Amino acid sequence: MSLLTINNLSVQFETAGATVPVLDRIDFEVAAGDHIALIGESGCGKTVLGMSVMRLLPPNARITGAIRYAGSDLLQVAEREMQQIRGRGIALISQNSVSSLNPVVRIGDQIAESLSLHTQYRGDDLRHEVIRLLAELGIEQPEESVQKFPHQFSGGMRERILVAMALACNPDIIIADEPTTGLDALVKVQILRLLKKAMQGRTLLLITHDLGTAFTLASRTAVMYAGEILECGPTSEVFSHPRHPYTQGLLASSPSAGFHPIPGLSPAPGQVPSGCRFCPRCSCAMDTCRSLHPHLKETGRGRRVRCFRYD
Amino acid sequence: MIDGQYLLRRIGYSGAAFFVCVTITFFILHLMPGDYITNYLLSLSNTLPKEAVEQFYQQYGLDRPLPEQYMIYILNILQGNWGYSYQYGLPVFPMIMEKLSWSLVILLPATVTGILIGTVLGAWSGWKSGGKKDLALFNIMIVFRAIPEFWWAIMAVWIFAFYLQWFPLGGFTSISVLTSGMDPWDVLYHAILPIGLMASFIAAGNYYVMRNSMIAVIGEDYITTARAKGLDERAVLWRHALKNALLPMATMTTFQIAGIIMGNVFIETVFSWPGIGLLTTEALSIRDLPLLEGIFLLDALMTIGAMLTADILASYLDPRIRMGGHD
Amino acid sequence: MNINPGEKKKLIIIGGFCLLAITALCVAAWGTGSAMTANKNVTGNPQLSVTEVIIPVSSPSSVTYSSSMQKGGVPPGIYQGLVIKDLNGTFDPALAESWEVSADAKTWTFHLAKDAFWNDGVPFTCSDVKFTNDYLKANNVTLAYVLHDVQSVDCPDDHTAVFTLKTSYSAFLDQISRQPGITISPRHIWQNITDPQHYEDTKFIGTGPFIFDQNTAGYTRVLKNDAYYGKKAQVSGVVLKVITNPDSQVLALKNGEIDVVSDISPAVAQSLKGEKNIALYSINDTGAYEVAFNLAQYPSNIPAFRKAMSHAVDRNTISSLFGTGRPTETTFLIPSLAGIYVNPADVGMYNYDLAEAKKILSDAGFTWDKRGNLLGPDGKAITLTIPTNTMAQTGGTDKILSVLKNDWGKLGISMSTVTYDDKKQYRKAVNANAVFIDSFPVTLHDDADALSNFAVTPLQETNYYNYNNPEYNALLDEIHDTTDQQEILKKAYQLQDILSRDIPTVPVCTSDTIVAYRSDRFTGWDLGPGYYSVTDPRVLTNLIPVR
Repeated sequence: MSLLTINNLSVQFETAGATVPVLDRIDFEVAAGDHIALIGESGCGKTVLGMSVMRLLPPNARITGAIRYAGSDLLQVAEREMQQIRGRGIALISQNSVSSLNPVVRIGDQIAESLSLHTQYRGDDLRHEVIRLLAELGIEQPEESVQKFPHQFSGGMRERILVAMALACNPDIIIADEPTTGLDALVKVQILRLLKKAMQGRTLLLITHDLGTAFTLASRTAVMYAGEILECGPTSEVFSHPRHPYTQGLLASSPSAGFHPIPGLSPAPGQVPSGCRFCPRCSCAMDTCRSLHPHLKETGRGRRVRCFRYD
Repeated sequence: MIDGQYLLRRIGYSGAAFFVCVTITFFILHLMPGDYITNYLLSLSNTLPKEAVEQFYQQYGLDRPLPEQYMIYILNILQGNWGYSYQYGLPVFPMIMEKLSWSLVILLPATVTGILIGTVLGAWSGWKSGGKKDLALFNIMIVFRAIPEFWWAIMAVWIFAFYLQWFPLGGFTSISVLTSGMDPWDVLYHAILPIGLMASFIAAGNYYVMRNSMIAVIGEDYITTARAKGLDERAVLWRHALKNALLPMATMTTFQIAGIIMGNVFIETVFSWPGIGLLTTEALSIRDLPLLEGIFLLDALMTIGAMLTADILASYLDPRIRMGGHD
Repeated sequence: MNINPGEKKKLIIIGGFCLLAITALCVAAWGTGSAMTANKNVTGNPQLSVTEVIIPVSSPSSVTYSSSMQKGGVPPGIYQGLVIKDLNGTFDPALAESWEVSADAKTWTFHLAKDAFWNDGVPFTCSDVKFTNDYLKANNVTLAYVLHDVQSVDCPDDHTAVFTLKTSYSAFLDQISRQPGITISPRHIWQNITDPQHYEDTKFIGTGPFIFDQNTAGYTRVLKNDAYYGKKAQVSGVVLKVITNPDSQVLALKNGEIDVVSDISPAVAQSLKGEKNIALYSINDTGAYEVAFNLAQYPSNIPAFRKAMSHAVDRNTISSLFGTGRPTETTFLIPSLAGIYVNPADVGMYNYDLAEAKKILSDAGFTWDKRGNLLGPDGKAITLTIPTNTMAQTGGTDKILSVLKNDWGKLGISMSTVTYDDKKQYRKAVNANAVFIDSFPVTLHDDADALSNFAVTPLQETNYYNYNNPEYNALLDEIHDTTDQQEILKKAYQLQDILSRDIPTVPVCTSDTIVAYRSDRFTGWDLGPGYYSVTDPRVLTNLIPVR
C-alpha cells in the first residue's frame, strides 16, 4: 500500500523577471517499508522534490500537483497541521552535517526539541530518551554528549546526531538528503552501515548523487535528470541493466566503472531542450528525440523508462 | 568558554595596549599645531607678550624636552594624578566625571533603548525579509539615515519644542532650578527629546546590522533542520535564529556602550546639554592638553575594557569560541 | 523542552548582571549629576523675579566654572577695575573715583571709592589694589603681564592707590581697563590661597553692581547689589542661560524664554523684523577689517607695491556685501570711536582707482607679460598666497577676498588662499606671506594708544606687519611719556601721517553687531557705539523693566 503518493508535481521558482521550472510533472509512489533512492546530478531537482514533500521550499517556489500522505494532500493542509507531520510523520536528515546543527544550542536540546514537540516525554524521561537515542546510534558517552555543542563532535558523530534527531519520533517516512556528503571514506562506510541498520522496517526516501550510497541503502531507485524522472525500478535491476542512456552514462562515469564522464553539461533550469531533455548529450539520439518529448513508460518487471528507444 | 590563565594574559595585553594608546595620544596631542596660551592670549588682544607665554610654558613644564614631559606624565598617571585643566584650573578627573555623568543621563537610556529597538526591529525585518512590511520598514530606515542627524535634531527642536511646545528648547533644567533646586522629573522632561532622537539614530544603526545578520542566519541549514522537526515559526525564530543572529550584535553593542564615553557632540550642541562631547570639542579647539589627555585616557580605558568584555561575552554566547586552553 | 537547566540559569545571570550594571551606572550618573546643585550660595532662596534679565551664553564653560582668579568665566557685574573705558578715549570711574598722573606719566594716583564694599561686607581699600598687583606677580598668574609696567603700588591711605611705573606710559589707563584689563581681587579671600591657578572660587566676592547668587545646571544668576556705591541696577538680577546652538537662541527669544540675543546675522535680523515684542538695534563699528602687508616679504617690502595696492581695495563694494557696517577710509583709526584722534588730512587717501594703481606699479618697474600677468622688477610673475583664520570672522574675510581676487586679478596678480584653524599656525603663515587679511575688535583701533600695534616696543618685539620704523617707535614712546592731551593729539596725527606714507596696512571697513531683544520685558539695551557686549555692567545697570 502506498504511504506517499506524488501526483503531477511541478515546482517553479519565481525569480526577478523570470519563472524557472525545476520539477516537471513528477509522478511517484513510496510504499510503506520501501527504501527508495532518487539519484541524479546536482541541479536535477532531487533535493527540491524532497523539500516539496517537507513543504520547506522558499516562499518564491510555486508548487502544483498533489502530494498525498495519510489521507490528505500535503500541499493543501494548513501550516499548523504540516508542523504536526514534520518530524513525526515525515522526518528529514539534512544534507550537511556541519551546518545542519545549530552551533549555539546543545545537541541534547536539539534532539529533545522534536521529542517534546511530538511525544509525551518530559523532564527526566525526555532526557533518558535522548540519551537512549544517542546510545542507539553509537554516540560514545551519551550522558556527557547531551551537554555538548555540535562543534565538539566529529563529522561522523554529527551525522549520527542528525540521524538520531530524525529517528527520534519514530516517523513514517525518513527523507535523507545526501547523508554522506563531506565524510571521509571510512566514516562513510560506518554511517551507511548504521543507516542500513536503522532503516530496517522504516520507509526511506534517499536523495543522493552517490551511486554507491543508493546501491547500499535503496531497494528501488529513480534516476532524475533536469526535473524529470528518466528511469525507475528495483535498484539491482537498474544498476545491473540500466535502460536509459543517461543511467548507463551515469553508471559508466562512476570511478569504479572506469570514470567515463557523460559529455556535455546538464541543462540549466529553464533552458531545457524541447524534445528529450537528455538528447543533446545522448550518444544514440534519434530525430524524434529532438522534436518530441518522451513519456515514462512501463517496460516490465516494475521498471519504467522515459526513452523513445523503448517505444 | 574561557581559560583563567589565558584571561590573565589577555588582561596583560590589554594593559600594554592601553599604554601604547596613552603614549600615542600624548605625542599626537603635544605635536598638534597650536597651543593653549597662544590661543588664549590672542583671544584677549592682538599682542602676544613673550614673558606671559614663557611663564606659562615654565609653569606647566612645557619648556622641557618632550620625552621628559612624557616621563613626567606617565609617572603622574600611574600615581592617579591626571593633572589640571589649563582653562578651568581644576583637576581633570572630577571634571570629566561630572560632564560624563550628564552625558550618561542622555546616552545611557538612549543607547540601551536604541539597541533594543534596533535589534528587535532588525530581527523582525530580517525574519520577514522580502515581505512588504520588511521593505516598508527598510525604506523608512534608509530615508531616516540618508538625512543627516543634525537636520533631524533641528527639525525635532523646531516642531516639538518651538511649535508644539511639548518639550523645552534645550538645556537640562527649567529656570525654576534657581529657586527650587534640581528636580529629577524636570531633568527627565528636558532629556526626553534628546534621548528620543539619540535612541532613534542608534536604533537605525543597529537595525541594519541585525537585519543583515538575521537574513544571513535564516538561510542557514540548521534553520531548515529546525523547521523539519515541526517547530512553528515562532519557535524557529526564538530558539534558533535569534540566538545566532545576535552574535555579531553582541560585539557591536559592547562597543556602542563603550562609545558613550565620548558623548555626542551634535546632540549636546543642539540641546545645550553640557556633556563630555561639548567638553571635548571645546578642549580640542583651545588645546587644553591635560583635559584632552584625560578624556582620551578614559576613552582608551573604556574601549580596551569593551574589547575584553566583548571577547568574554562572545565566548559565553558562542560555544565555538574558546579563549585559550585546549580542547 | 530544555533538558539543560543550567542554560537558562546562565542567561538569567548574564541578563541580571547587565541590568545591574546599567542600574548602577544610572544611579552613579544621577548621584554625580545632582551633586552639582551643591554649588549654591547660601544667601537664602530669593524668588525668581519677573525683573530678572535672562541672557543666553553660548558655552557652558563661561558660567559653570569659576576657574582661577582673573581668568574668564566670571559672571558679569561682579568684579571691577579701577576705571572703565568709555567712548572717545575717556574713562569712567569704577573703583577709582578720580585719578591724576604726574607730568612724566610715571606716577599714577587713584582716589578710591570710599563707600565701596566687598559683597561679604568687608570694606574695599587700597590694600586690595596693592594685593592684586603683588599677588598676580608673585603667583605668576598669566594676566600679570598686563601690569608689566608697574614697578610698585603704594597705599598712602586706605583710599588712595599710587602706581609707580617702570617707564613713562601715558596709556596706562587704557592698558588696565581694556580687554583683558585687570580687575581688583579681594585680599581677604585670596591672601591665604597659595595656588590660585588651581583654586576653584565658588563665592565670587566682588564689589560691582551685582552679587553672585548661584551656578546651577546650565544657569548662572547674579542679583542686584543694593549696597552698591555707584549707579544701582534697576533689574533685580541677571540670569545667564547656556544655549549652545545659535538657532535655539533665536527660537528661545521668540518663545520669550530669554530677553536678548546678541550678534545675530543680518539674515536672522531681517526675519525677526516685525515679530511681536521683539526689537532690534545695531551697535555700529564693533569689528573692523584690514588688508595688511608683511613688510618682511616680497613684494610687500616694495613701498610702491603697497601704495599701488592701497588704491586697489574697493571698500564700497566690500562693505555693501557685508550687509552691515561701512567703509572706512582713514589711515588707521575708526572715526566713530577714535573721534578727534583721527587725522583729517589722512582721510580718503586710499581712493579706489585701479588705473592709478597700475601707473604706480609701472613707475616702480613692474611690468606685464603678454597674457597680462604682473611681473615684478625682477621679471618674475607676482603670485600671492593669503592666509586666513577660521577663528576670525571668516564670513567677512571671504567677502573681502572675493572682491580682491577680482580687482587684483585685473592688475595681473594671481591669488590663492590658505585657511588655518589655529591661531599660532595662522600667525606663522602671516609671517611667511606678503599679504594677509585680518579682522579685529574695534577696541584695538579706537585711540592714539592703539597706534602702538604698529610699533616695536620692549613688550612687543615685533608686530604682524613686521613694520619697524624707528621714527615711529620714537614718536610713540614720546606719546607714552607725556600726559599733555594737545601733545598726544599732535603726535598721534604725526603717527598717522607716517602710517599713511609707509602703508603697512590698508583699512577696509567696519562691521556692526546686531542685537535683538524682548521689548515687552526690558528697555535700555542700546547705549550706542562701543557697548558691544550685552553683559557690559553699564548696559545691565541701564536696563529698566517694562511695567
